[in-house]
Amino acid sequence: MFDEAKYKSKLNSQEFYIDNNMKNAAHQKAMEDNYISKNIKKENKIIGFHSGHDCSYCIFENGIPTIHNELERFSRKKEHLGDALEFLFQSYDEYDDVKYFSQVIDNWKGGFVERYPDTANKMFNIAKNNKGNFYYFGHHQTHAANAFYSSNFDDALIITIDAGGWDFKEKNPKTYHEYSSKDVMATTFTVSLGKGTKIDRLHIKDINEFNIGATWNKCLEDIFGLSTGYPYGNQAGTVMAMACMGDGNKYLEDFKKGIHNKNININKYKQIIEKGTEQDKFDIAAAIQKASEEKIKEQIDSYIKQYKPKNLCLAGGVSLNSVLIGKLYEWYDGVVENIYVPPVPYDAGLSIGVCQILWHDEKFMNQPRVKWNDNSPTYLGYTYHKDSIIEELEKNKSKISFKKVDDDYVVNLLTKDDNVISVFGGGSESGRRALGNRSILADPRNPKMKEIINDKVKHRQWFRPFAPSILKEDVKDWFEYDIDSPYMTAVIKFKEEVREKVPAVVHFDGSARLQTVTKNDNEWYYNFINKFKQKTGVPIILNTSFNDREPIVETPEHAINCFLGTNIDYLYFRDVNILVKRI
Amino acid sequence: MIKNIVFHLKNIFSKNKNFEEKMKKINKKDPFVYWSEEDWDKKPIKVPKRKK
Repeated sequence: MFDEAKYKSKLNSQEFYIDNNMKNAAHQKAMEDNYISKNIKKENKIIGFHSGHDCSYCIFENGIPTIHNELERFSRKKEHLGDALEFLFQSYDEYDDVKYFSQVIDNWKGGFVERYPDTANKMFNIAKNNKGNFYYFGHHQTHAANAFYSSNFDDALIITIDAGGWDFKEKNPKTYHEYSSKDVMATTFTVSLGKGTKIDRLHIKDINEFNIGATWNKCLEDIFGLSTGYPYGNQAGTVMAMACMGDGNKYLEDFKKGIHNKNININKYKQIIEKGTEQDKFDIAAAIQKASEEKIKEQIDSYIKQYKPKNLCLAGGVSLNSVLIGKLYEWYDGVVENIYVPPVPYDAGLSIGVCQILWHDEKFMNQPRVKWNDNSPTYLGYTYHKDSIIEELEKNKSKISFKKVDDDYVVNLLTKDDNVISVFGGGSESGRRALGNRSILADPRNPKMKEIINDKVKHRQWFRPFAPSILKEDVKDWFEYDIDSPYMTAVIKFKEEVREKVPAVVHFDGSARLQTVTKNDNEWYYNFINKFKQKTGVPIILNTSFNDREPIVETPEHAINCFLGTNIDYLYFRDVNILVKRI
Repeated sequence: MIKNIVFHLKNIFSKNKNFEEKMKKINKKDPFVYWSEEDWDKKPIKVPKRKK
């Protein structure tokens, strides 16, 4: 049991900075170990920011990300592009102890200093006053750092794949304070080796050589008419869901020729979709997915063969392809034992990664790795005070009724009357997945539940699956591989004999994008699922993000607005044990 | 049931009516990423009282 008083007294005695945003037991334990082992002073706070699409910032204290906020959660528009420093200055106000600021190389419209000179100057002044500094790092260098340093691996092969970013051509550039166009190159794919605090880049590919991310965007938008970003978000998940119902071989050769270089006959496939059946759509999606998997496998096979890594880390937007991540377990079974994708593998995670480079790299602060217990924390958004919740309840009391209940009461509700229950509590999740703090929960045993949730709140296409959260110790009994997937990053298959027990979370091919839950990762959620298991014998709950096509809810106000704007049956503010019902 | 259908239709029309127009505005000027030109307007963000 974590002893907060003892912890604070230890910290105070050594002039440590006490974080006010402790997230969970794992987070606290990691902070405690790290503080005590290194005697780091409080003025070493780092702020990372990313002023691109998926605008975000990270507050990083003594080796640990303590806050990570994405603009979209507050602006309510997915993948919002904007001035991350303005966002920071509006929503965070403790700068006395900030030593370093950092962002990835940014060439969009002349870079962030050109685009947002006022806030850039304000940031430079804070750094100067605190005798600190500002640094640029490479886009893929940062994705790789975020993946490796967030993992618990001592060594790993690190793969980064996305739709493009700028990196230093040299592994060790002369300076990280500035760069010119001749110093950098656009890339979409890197391979690195991580060992301890060192990351060695083995390979970097030119953007024109290999660009699966951009080809997916092109196909999404021009073939399927789907969104690829702001303001509706990237809808690649829709194509992935369709893929499992199609024949991947029907158009495979065409897509294999162009999936890595945008050389796709868009008009041909657009016409097939316009004139064809739904099955044609599925076949095209399946070919896109299969061609991507084959091309990526071609790229990484030689590195797996050469280095035989026990551990594999992946980051970059393409690593959000959870079907691909699941395939890696099959392809490299017997070689790769563990695969890690960080909670924010896309560009919003860059603000965390730059801090991690500064903290660990020997050229900068040269600090040791943090050992996570069990996984790097991902509930890094703000935790809201009960006053904020009460205020919102009072504001809406003409539309809602509410009462004090306990978790057992909510578990009982979950098992009956086709109830769909949203939960709100703790720090909001960083990343695209709701992992128990801003989630909509339902009974996975109910065969009609997928349709019920779609009717009541999500309004997704009929073929899109909902995900299961499962107690980590039960994964081996329910899935074909006993894996860790704490951030819902991998799709693997349920064992055949259990599929009919949880029909609401089994996709048409028997697979699911599972979230494995441990007590250290999210104590409340772990206990809640355990209560459900005690009652039903099933250690699984259907978990989907608490939103209706908007970004995941962030504040109590968003939660009540989403609840009232949909037909969710109950809203449970679990920090204060208040259950809300529509009048 | 009827309530659900009405609710569903209302949502579709209110949220998706300008979808195609908006998608057309998504700019492809960046050499490798489909970025929207629409920058955050810096409208003040409301952050409720947080737990410290």
